Amino acid sequence: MQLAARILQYGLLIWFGLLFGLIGMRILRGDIVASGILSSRPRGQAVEPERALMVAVFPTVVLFYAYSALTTELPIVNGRPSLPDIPQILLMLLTGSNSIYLAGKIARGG
Amino acid sequence: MSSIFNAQNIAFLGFIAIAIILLGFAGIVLLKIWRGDIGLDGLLAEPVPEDKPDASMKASLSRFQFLIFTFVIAGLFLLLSIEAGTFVDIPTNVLALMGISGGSYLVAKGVGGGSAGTDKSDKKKPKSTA
Repeated sequence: MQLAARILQYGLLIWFGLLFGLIGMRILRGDIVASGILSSRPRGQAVEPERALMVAVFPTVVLFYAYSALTTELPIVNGRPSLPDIPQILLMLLTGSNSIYLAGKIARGG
Repeated sequence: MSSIFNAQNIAFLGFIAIAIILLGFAGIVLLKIWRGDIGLDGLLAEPVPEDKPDASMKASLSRFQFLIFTFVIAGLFLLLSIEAGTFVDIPTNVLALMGISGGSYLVAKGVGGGSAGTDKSDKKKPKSTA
């Protein structure tokens, strides 16, 4: 049973890797529109700071959480296994960057 | 004969069947994405407004963030549930993280849609007959 669970686990990990690889390849080829992510204008030239901040913060949070979830043992909360908790500081960082992003978006008129 | 079909073996065979179905379904979805049957062109971009057919598609950062968070957390939940052998609990802070990401996407969409809405109201003004 453990072996079957391991096979399923690694199979799903490989699937996620292939899916992200496929999406990344499509973005690099231009099949998936990814331009304008750092600007509010469709053909904007200037990088907007609130967007750059958000692009810097959220992958950090995601990578930190994914790494800690995959490398540490599952905590037991009230007798049941649980996903690892995310540190409060990261949550505040994410909230702050999203708030600044939305404020900038509203100020620029969408 | 009766020792072959005990509870443990039945559970094992059931797990194998579910694993094959799940991985098979995942493989079919991946194959369809690869062949282009499932289009991903607008995965990161907001749809073009109907009143601006010539407008170019632009990637949305809040949409991208929501997509990444959903994939990562759902993926971790699935993987760790398989490892633990039971559904794992999701901490409140992780749910708050999903809420922040989703709320940000909704607000950004509302702000973007609101600015497009003012253009629509201008078009609805009656034309002068003079």
